[in-house]
Amino acid sequence: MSLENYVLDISNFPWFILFGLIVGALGGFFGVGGGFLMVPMLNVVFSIPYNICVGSDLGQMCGMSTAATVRHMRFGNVDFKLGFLMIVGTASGVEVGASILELLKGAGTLSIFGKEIDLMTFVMSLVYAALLIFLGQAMIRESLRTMKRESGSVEISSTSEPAGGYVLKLRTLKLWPMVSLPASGIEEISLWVILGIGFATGFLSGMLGVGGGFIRMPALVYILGCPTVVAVGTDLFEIMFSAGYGVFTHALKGNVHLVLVLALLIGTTVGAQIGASFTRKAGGPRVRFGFGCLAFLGVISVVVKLAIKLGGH
Amino acid sequence: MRFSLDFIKKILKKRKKERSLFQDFETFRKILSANDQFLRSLAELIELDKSKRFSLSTVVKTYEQISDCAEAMVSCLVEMTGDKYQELIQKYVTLDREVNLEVLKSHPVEVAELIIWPDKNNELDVNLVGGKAKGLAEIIRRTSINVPPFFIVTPYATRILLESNGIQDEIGERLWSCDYSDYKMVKKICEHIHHKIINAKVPKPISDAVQDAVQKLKKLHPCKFGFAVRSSASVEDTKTSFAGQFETILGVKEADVLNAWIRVIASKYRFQTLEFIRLEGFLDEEVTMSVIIMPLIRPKISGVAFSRSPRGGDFAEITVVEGLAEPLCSGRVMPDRYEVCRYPPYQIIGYTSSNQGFMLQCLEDGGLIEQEVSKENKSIVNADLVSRVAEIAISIEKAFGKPQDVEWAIDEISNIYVVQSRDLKILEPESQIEEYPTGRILLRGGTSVCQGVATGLVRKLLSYEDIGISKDTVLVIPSTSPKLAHMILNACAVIAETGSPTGHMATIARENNIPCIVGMTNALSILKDGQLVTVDSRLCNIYEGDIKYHRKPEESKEKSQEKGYLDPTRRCLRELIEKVSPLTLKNPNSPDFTVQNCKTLHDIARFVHQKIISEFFETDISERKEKRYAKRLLWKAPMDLLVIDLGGGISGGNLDCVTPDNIISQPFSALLEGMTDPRLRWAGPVGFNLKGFMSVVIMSAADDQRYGEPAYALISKDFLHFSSRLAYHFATVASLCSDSQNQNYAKFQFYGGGSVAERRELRAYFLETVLRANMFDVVRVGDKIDACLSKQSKEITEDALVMLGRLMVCSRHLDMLMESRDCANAYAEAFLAGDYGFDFVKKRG
Repeated sequence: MSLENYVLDISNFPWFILFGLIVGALGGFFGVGGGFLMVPMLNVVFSIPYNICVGSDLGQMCGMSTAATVRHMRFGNVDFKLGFLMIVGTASGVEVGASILELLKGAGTLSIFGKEIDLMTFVMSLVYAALLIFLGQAMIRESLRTMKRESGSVEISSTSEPAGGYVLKLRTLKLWPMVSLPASGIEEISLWVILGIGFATGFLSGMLGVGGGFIRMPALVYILGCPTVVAVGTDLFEIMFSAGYGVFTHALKGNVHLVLVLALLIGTTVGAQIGASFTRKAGGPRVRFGFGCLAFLGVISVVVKLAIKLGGH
Repeated sequence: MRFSLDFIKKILKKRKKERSLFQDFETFRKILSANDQFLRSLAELIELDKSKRFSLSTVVKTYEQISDCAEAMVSCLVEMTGDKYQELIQKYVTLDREVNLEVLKSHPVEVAELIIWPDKNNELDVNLVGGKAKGLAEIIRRTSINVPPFFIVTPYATRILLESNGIQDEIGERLWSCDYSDYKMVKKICEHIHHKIINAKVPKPISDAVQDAVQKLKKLHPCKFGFAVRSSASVEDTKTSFAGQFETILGVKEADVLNAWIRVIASKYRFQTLEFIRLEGFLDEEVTMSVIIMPLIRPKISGVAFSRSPRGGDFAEITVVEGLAEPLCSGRVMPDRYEVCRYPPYQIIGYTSSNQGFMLQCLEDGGLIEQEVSKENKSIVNADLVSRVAEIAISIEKAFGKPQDVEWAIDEISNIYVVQSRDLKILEPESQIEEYPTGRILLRGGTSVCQGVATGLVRKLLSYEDIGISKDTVLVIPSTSPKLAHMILNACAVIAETGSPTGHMATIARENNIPCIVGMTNALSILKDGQLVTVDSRLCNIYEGDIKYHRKPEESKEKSQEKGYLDPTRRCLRELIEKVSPLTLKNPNSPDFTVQNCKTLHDIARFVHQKIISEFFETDISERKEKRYAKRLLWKAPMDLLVIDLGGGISGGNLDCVTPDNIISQPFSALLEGMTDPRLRWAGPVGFNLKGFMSVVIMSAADDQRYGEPAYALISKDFLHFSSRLAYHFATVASLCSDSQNQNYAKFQFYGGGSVAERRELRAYFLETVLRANMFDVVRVGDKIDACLSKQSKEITEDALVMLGRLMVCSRHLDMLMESRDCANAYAEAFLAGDYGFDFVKKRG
């Protein structure tokens, strides 16, 4: 499988920039969620194989987060101990994720309805479709409920769940070794919790090329109990290294296309600014509703692309 | 091209308008203190009604303060917010104008003509020509009855005269601020003002205009016998007749017209007239003086015609004297009386002759003369003329739709002129007298002017001296005179030895429902001062003592209360309070809280106050360029907090960072105290819940990533505006915490959160519960909380801020844990019990 089969050459550079601009704007507008569309859309629009998409997207992300981290480090809001511990977990996660992708790349083709299709495209399309469906429906449902509630038409439900059963304490997980995080003001926490969070996000990064921040931030705040500022700083620091490691390992596997990375970096940087300037005018639930719809459009395009592949040749 | 230029201009304009945060804050403070002053002045105004005595100028001054405050508030708000509340200016102007015109009656000196002529085609403005002139002009307009030509010198000319001579200011300063119960003082001031007006210099434009008008008048009518200069006050002949209260000067020579005009104007400031105005419940300002100037008709006979008997008979009543009607109106002579059928051919059905004694006649080229009239030389009145007078009176009644009191004159060649006409008050015909009183009749006779029964102490008045008259005085006078009008208003009954039932004083007695008998001979000699008598003016009897004969006394008492005389100054104050004070905009969260719904100045002040607080509340500091002045707060809590000092909030510290010790802003110190409460937990697991966590993950997949921004505190000595994003939500606290309790408030807004709607809403419910328990007014819509604590003492407000500090910190992750209403209640209970770390969860296991 050589690159010549795909429209990935220097003459497409302006199109990559435009693409980066659009995805960047969506990212700026819809937040982290916009980035979910980057990998599948690169495949759908330019027919770039998923491994290249994932690798190059991580390259772009690494560049973006480095700039952001430098800005935050000045404020001293990074819990380095936590950061480095998490990097260990993240790196292993990335490695596992990237390896699975590598396995898929080399797994050859699959025959469906008598048509040949490479296993990687098939599996990744389905995984992305599933991810987008999950997020999209959750967003739409949530935003609709919020909008309904904002109009004041719904009373608070007095759910029947017993008051005692609502807290599942992760702090009771006293699995050796326990560490303390003084910069975050956390007295003790099982190292495995930190590593686990890192691994999960790293796995998503390595295999799907998404930042993982959407899991890491809430996890830092709610599971570890970091103060928000520290969580923000550490998260950005973390992204830089996990994306950096992701780029490194994907590069070794030949998945990073530098021209594409550069084009995307230019496009997303500008696009994010444009997108962000619109967000504040729109307001929460409407933005989420919009993202939900967008996610479903993404699903449709992925499915259509898959169908064309199966029907075409 | 033009479009783009306009566009650029617009942008430049906008840029120019951009205001700094410091300017905004200054405006904000200005509005708050104006609001404070507004409320204080309003309270003063309301307090004023409780005091026994106050002067009009105090009322006016207090209102001016109120109005100035409202104006300052409105203009500050518009200045700060641009066009957003532009219509508020119009609203303020309208309301203020309404108060000035309708309550304070200060008609601004609008430029008007000095002279107005009646016009057959156009209606005249009663404010410009006065009631009397308006009546005459309407006769000209609606009928073809003869009215001598005339012109009106308007109140505008009066104003110019008074202002150019500095008298207006003196009236404002001295008359409005005097204490009316001290009548000697009032009298002195009146005399002074009267004197000043009489000696005032007429500005040239007025004298020119009047001279020109007189020349024009001479062309319209031979002015052989001089002129009649008559008052025509704005209130005259309208609600009340003011019969005879202002001067009317007859037989004025051409050269004296201006002097006569001044005398008429001055007559308003005669003590008795001013008292009468006041007792009738009018403010000085409400009575504006117009003056009618018309040629004097030399009458063979003249008199007054009532188109219907004021005592209820279905006939016209006409009184006739020889010469001018003036002695008749002022009650100096007894006229002949005719009762005339009200229908054609207007037959005379009754006649009473009397001895006129003397007559007043005008001389060629002005001047008057009194002549003897004896039975022998009395001219025979043609019955046909009397019928024609009755016909005219009735046709005027038809034109106006109301019974009329018409003053008429017939010249040597039998032309009938109407020189005045006003509405006539008809007394309800008394129902059958059910019971005849028994008692010793002291005196009987005369003509009843106003029917009724009253018991009181006799007080004889032999000269026009002002004496104290109380509500139980039966006033006994030699003859009726309009000069006594202000005294009869206070009396319970009036008896006059001579006088005409059609005279001015009779009119006033009727209008005020004061039992009155005229022509009761020997009253002065038989009745004794201080004697208790009962006057029954229906039967024209006076009984000795209180014969306890009052037909339905309860009802009559009620009636008099209903009429409820109110001192005009107090009435004005009450009307003012009614116009300014009621608050119709009560709920700032209601959709009716709009500019259009502002009905009083109080509404406007409240509206502006609410809006400025919420406008300032919504300031997004992260988007203002002033954030470069922010200093970092060095404190132990893990939160980026940048402080901007607007004045007096920080002492010491260095250029870019401060410590909590440097903060001298009281509300901010209080908030910090709450946020750094040792019982709070800033870090550590808050408890984990998988469903809640997933909801946060989903939410953060579409987040606008603003949580990296620092919190800002905008502070001054007694002010705080704190905005932050503590986790995934927005929280804003604003407070003014000063020594003046009325200004104080603590406002709190909270919305958003990392998890799904239900959980965010449950957290909002938790906040609502806690805030309500802390006396806040809370509005919750969905996950958004708006809470406010206002007008509390400094200490209470500070305590509330400490509480808010704790609440913001401890509730920052609660949304994830909120499963149910019970759960929210449990957390609220814990917080209220001082368990800010929510250790109760641990204990429960």
